[in-house]
Amino acid sequence: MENMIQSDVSKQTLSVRSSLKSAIVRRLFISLVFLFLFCFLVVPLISIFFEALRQGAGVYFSSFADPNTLSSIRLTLIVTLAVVPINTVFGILIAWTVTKYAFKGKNMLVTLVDLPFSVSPVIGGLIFVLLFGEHSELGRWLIAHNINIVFNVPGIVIATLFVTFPFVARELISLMNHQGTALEEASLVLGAGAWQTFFRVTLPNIKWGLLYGIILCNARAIGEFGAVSVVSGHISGMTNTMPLQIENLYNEYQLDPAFALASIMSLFAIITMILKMILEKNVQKAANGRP
Amino acid sequence: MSIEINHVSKSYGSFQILKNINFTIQTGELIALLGPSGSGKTSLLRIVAGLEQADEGQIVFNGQDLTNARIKDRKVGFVFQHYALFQNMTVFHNIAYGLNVLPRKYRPSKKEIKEKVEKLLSLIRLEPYGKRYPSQLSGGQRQRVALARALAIEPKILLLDEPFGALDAKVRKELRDWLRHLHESVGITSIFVTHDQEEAFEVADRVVIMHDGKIEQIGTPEHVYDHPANPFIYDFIGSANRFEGKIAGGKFVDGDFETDAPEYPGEVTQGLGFVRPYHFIIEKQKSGNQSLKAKIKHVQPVGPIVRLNLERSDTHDLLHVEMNREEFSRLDLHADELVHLKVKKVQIFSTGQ
Repeated sequence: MENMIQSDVSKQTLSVRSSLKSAIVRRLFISLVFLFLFCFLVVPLISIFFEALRQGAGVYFSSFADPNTLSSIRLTLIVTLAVVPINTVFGILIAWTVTKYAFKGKNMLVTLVDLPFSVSPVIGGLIFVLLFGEHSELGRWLIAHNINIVFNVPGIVIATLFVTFPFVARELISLMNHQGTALEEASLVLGAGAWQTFFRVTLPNIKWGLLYGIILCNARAIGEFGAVSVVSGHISGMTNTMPLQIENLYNEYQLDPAFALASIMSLFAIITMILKMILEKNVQKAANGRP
Repeated sequence: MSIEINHVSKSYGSFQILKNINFTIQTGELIALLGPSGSGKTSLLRIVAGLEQADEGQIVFNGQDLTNARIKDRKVGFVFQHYALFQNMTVFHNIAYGLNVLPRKYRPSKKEIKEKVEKLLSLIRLEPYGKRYPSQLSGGQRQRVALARALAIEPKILLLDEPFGALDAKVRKELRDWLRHLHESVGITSIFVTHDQEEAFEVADRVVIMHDGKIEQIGTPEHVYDHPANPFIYDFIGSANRFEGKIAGGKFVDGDFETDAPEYPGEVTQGLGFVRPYHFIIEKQKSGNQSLKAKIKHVQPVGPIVRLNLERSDTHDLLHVEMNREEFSRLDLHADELVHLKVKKVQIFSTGQ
């Protein structure tokens, strides 16, 4: 009986394989995938640059003369510079704690790291408005002491921190889990301290994964819209980041500057993707490098 | 440096991996911790190194209690099963690591470090390989680098966790001889963990056999081999034929198999008998009354000896017998032949039921 079932299954897989092998089906699938990617990813991307440059280079560059647009670029840079280092340090800290120590509640911590991915960014933003705004004791106390977090740069930084937190931590947790703790143990037995072990042994082994996480975190920090939109208050020239400024310009029917700004963000996205491609290979190597 | 392991116990959750382990290792001894996987031998080694903490008990080095000492204060050399070499460093820098991480006032000069590493490279016979990376070495070479790295800090104690477990048979044998030789020339107190009884018996001064988190027997290889303390050890340390039967009136009986058991006079209990493969005498004609009829099923010459598989005529259990080539050809034995077996030596254990 078992043999019959097995031979049935193997016949089935055989027929699936042979139909997969047929050249027509293969070509059909590949062309479908390419067509889909072209229509939904490449065409929109090209059209952004096309729209941005349609009125010529003069109009394109004059878009950046607008002080509100310039201030949005500056604000995005400030937020990114604040967020990425913080999330890098905490990402390493969490990954180290979770992978090198055994303790109760570890699995819950790993699940919590993913929380920002499973919660809508709008809700993420709303949490901080409620927490630091006029609606809470803490918020009223802060405002009374002249510390304005909501509708201000600190609020935008905190919201972006929340949304981009998982990138470095997740990347490192999976890599460090794979690598195990034997090398760190070897280093400790040889008399090295914790810092020496981290900088001489751990960091060189995770550097590519770390860089990969930083790049993803960076891209998201620049592009985050939902959470930032809720906490920012949309004050032009004050609390508008690049994505918010694009929406602003678009709502005011200023399409050319909107597309010009969008082209810069898209360019950055393309650079991110290229870096990601290069890094992915090295991360693979690092993960497999240990005997 | 002597090591005292005093009443050490350790649990992982509800599972107790070590149960009141208690023994002493003399200065300069080479000890093998031998046992099947899950017997707790690696956990014990890691507790001695400080990589893990015991729940109860003490670790004492030369009269000094180091149970709660930090890893780096114990000055032990540790060799990991899978080498744990630093992939991002050359062989040279791997070996120099323990010296380079010393605080500046204790750290030797660059020149001294270089001399020391070169000396160690020649000790492990890898002089030309200093500039290579671990990924460019074979398994045996990596393990020797790991040993040199451990020795570079001049540890008082060397701990090895299944050091040759991941290597093929020939390299294992070479490294085993080399380790024995190294131990004799350096004279450092060493403990190594293994599940391979041949390795343990060949290399160690004394063997500690562990099972289920407890010590079953401690002794020199000869002593343990000749006088296994219980049935588990008899089974574990070498292929032995096992007979299950009854002890009564100073005799052990299992089917047609009967032998004297003078150490159990008068008692009537269940018992186990063990006979090593080379403690049989094969006869074509029955002689005396303590012989067992069996049929030769399979003949397999291996180097200078011949292994025979025989089937007992009474219980149809298989027996393993070994003899040298000369004896085999003198007896002129063939497969499917009926013969009579006598035992030269048997060990009887009462299982007390």
